[in-house]
Parts: sequence; C-alpha cells; structure tokens
Amino acid sequence: MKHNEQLTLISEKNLSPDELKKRAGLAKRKPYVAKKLANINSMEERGEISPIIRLEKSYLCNFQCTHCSAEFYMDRHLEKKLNTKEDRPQMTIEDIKKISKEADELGLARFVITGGEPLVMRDFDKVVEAIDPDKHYVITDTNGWFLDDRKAKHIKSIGVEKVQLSLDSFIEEEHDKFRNKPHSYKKVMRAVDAALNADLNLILSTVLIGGRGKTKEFEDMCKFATDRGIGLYVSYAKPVGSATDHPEFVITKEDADIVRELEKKYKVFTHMTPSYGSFKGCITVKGIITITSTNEVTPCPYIDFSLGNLRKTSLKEILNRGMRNKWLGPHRPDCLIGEDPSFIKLHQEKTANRTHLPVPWGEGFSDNDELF
Amino acid sequence: MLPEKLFDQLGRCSPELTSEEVIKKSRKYFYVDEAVREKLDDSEIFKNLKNYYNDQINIDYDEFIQRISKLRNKVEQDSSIKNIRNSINIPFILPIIKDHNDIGKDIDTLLIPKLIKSFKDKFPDYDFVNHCKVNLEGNISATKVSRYDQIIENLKTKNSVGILYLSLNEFSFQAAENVITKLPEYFYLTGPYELFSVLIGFPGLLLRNDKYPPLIWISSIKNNTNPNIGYVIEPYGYNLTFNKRPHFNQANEYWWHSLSIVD
Repeated sequence: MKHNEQLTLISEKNLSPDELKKRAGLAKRKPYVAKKLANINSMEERGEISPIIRLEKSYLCNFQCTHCSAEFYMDRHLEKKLNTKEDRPQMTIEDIKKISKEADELGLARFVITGGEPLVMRDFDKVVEAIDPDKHYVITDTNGWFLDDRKAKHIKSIGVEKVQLSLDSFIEEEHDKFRNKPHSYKKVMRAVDAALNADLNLILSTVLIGGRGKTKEFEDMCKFATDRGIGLYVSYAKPVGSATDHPEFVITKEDADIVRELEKKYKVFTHMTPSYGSFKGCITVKGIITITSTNEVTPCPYIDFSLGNLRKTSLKEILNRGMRNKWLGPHRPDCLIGEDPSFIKLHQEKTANRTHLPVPWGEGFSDNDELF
Repeated sequence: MLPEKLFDQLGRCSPELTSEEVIKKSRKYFYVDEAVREKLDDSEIFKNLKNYYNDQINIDYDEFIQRISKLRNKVEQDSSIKNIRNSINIPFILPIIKDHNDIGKDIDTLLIPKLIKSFKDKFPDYDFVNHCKVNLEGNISATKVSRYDQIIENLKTKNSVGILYLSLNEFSFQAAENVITKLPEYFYLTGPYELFSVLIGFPGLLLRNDKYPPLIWISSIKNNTNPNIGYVIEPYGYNLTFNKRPHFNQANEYWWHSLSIVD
C-alpha cells in the first residue's frame, strides 16, 4: 500500500494523536481491515449498517459474577438450576469461517470473541484464525485472570488487536465481591500492564448499576483510566441473566446523564456515546449483534430474543429482519433493554419460563412486532 | 375526505391526513416535558430574542404580544384546527437578515453562534454542540412543498412574528410534507430560522431529567447532494446538539417534525 493511501485511510477529523498513530499502524499491518474500518462512517451516512459481531462460541467461565448476562446460557446453569442439558447443535470452527465470509461480503469489519471467558477456550487460537485477522478487526473480552505478559504477547501475535478488560469497581474488595472471585482485582491490574506492554489496544469495561455514577469510586475509576490513556467503556446493568433478580441495578436517565457529563472530562463512553462521527444512539443491530453458541443471532448482548439462526438464514436477511423490527431498527437515544420499561417487561415475560435461550425467531421477535 | 378535526386533543396532527409513514398510535415515550408549558413566558422569550439578536429585532414587547395574540386568535377561530393550541407551542420573532443569500451560511454564522450564547448563558454547566463540521454554505436548500420561500423573502426586510407548534410528532418527512398540502395555507413546515429563534428565546425546551425528549427535525430543509439527509436539533443528556442524519422517509417515535405560522 502506498503512503498516500495509508494517510487517506486514517485521515478522519477529531482524532487524537494517539488514535491517529494506532490507525496508521493498523493501515500498515492490515490494510484491508483498515480500509473497511475507514468505510464505516460513509456506510452509516448512506443508511447502511456495520455492526460489531460478538461471537459467543463457548460459555465456559472461571468466574461466577453477580451481573453476568450469559449465566442462563451456561451449562452449569442448565444442569444445576434447570436440570436440563444443552442439546442444540453447537457452533463449530467451520461455522465461524462461514460467518466471517458472510460478514466480509457485507462490509462488516469487527469481531469480538466473548463468552464465558474467552481465554479459557482451548480453541481460542483456532477461533481467531477462523475469523481471519487479515479480514476483520479482532477484539477479545476477558476478565483478565489469565492475561499475563506471555498470554498478551501471544494473542497479539495471532492477530488480536484489542482487549476489553472487565473492572467492576475501583475498590478492590468490591470488585472481588461483585465478581465472586478473590484476587481478581489484582489480576485485572496485572492484565492492564500486560496488554499495554504487548501493544494491544485496550479498553476497560465496567458495569453501571443504578446510583453508581454519583459515587467517588466511579469517578476515581474514570480518572484512573484517563490517566493511563485507556478508554473506559460503561455498560448499563440490564435486568437479564444473573441480574434478573436485581431490579435495583437498572439505571435511571439521571444515571445515564451523569455519565454523559463525565464524558466531557474523562475518557469514558457508553455504547451510545457519539464517536468519530457516528451518532447511532442505541446500537441494537445498527452497531452490534451477538451470535450465540447455537448460531442464533441476537440484537445486542442482553436481549435474549433471536433474529434467526445462521445455519438456516443468511446473515444479510437476519440483519434486515433486525432493521425492519420496530423495537430495534429505529434510531433512539436510550438503551432499549436497559432503560425502556415496556420492553424490559416484554422481555421478562417472554423469557420467564424458557430453559434454552435465546427465544427463537417468531416467538420473541417477529416481523409482526408492534410497540404496543 | 379530511377528518372534522385535523388535530387531536393533545394537538397532534391527525395521522389520517396522510398515507405516508407515521407512527399512528403514539406511546408517548419520547416526549417534550409537559412542565415546559408552565415555564413558557412570553416576556422572557422576548427578552432573550432581543438580547441575542440585538438590532436585528426592531419591534418592542407590546407589539410582539399584540401580534402573537392575533395569530392565536386566528387559530382559535377555525374549529377544525383549534386543537393545535393544545400542543406545546412557542412564540418567536425572526431576525431581519438584510444580506441573506444562503440558508447554510446563516445557520453557520448567525443562528448557531446566537444559540450557543443563549444556551450557555442559561445553562452554564452544559453545552450546545455543533456536530456538522463541514461548511454548510451552498449545501442546504428549502424544500418546495414546505412553503418556506415566502418566509425567506421576508427575512431581508421585516421581523416576522410567529408560533411554532410541536404537532407532527412521529411523522416521517414525506408525511410531514404531505399534510402541509392539506392544512390552511398559513401553515408551513418549520425551518431553521424559526426553530433556532424558538431555542434562543427558550433554550430549555428540550431538556428533561426524568425521561427522554424527542429529536426535532428542521422540517423544511434538505441537503442539496443527498435529499435523504436532513438536519436536526437533538438533546444529549442536558446538552443540545445540531447535526445531520439520513432519514429515508422513515417514521420513528423519537423523531418529531413541527409546524409554524407567521404573520
């Protein structure tokens, strides 16, 4: 790639010197991926979508967190709590190769490997290879437990570009308690250094429960992330998974507005924060989809209604279903599953007696959905 | 055949007036805070407009009130439309712009700077942010159907006084443009001069703490290159923003259009 072409790919307005440097590096190493990422804004301006694809190949996890949205998908929940088993066909490496190809044909550019805890997956390297880091920007979620220097360098070497590391309180005891895992805070701090040393792009990810935005602890965390030059991604707590029994976790508009004000001062953002010319609001389908271990596509990590199964329906048609759905397609400023009481109620009613999630297409979401 | 009442009890234009895309039954999830009705104060609005437009406004408060009353009476006398007064409605004065020759240029160099100042003076902790980083001059024009040409012509010579009605909530662009052809000719789709004047006069219109207010389209203008791109005023938390976005003539419960009348 010529130098001028590289500059074109990275020449967006309002980018920090640090972000410009990162994009220049990516354009040199992975020009095809950089070109797709640079196209996202123009796609959005044309009304096209470019969602990040979250891949939940496995729900195996070494933690058992208070607020885990994936808990109800896990074998331990199905077997111990519901006395049943996961008997649906599971995602294979071949499935991932097919998804990667379909996504590439649609101009989609970003995959997040999530779970469970991705770094306990024995086939993690094969999953990265199947996504194809020369075609897609590969990100992994992690709780940080296994992310030491050696592991960080390894995942960088196989093509992972970015790590999203969970930190749920800046107070060590609170984080460990929330995560139900002693010493996990210390492991996160070790993982921060390991990721930065390995030249991985890093963001911290934290869950905002009702009232937390006003606390000193939260602002301390914002300050810590900003001082280290790390973005802090704030995810609103949703009344799903392990948090179903914690309605007090659901935030108010006031909580969300507090974070919006902190964005002016710190390197902190939510999934609805305008960034680099993108003003999507709630990102269901428009900015994110999740593919579960049974190849079901859900419109965000926290909505347990499927838009279709990728073994039966193309990714293109599934995205179209999402965009024409009255809850999911339209632009809106708030979080559908985290803030809209009508949708939260609907979601709770339709998932209440289900053993196997997500609720299939036609039974949760359908083409006949109305807002009433 | 048109329904007997063109606006419902809440002042919303009847969706039956058009077959274009509209959210027929609103769940009123995104809504302007009803409490603003009590905060709307004609004298405060006049004071702000006079303060920020300065010598571009040549009328005094008494004349403003007189002309607003006349407009209100006009609406009141028509039984098919008088319900519109139940919508949230805000009086305004349009500034005289003697050297007007381009809408985009006026937004960039006059309307946005005035609104930034008015908003910041009223809410020192919050911001009005312009997300349109490109120069708007030459990029925007009024749509033919909006009946906006006359408004623009008047800008050069006189202060028009008017009222903006938030009555086209959850209408698509096409539906808004369609209903304007069925309303009395003194209605037109709101443009940038009226919406910015309303916000300069009453900067707190779209702020609310408990729930989410709507996004307001500037209904009478379009992007010259891509007619599917429109321009909006959108709250972000306690802040306000100006931006452009594609709309593809979709109806959305978060997207509102509005009507205006002037004397």
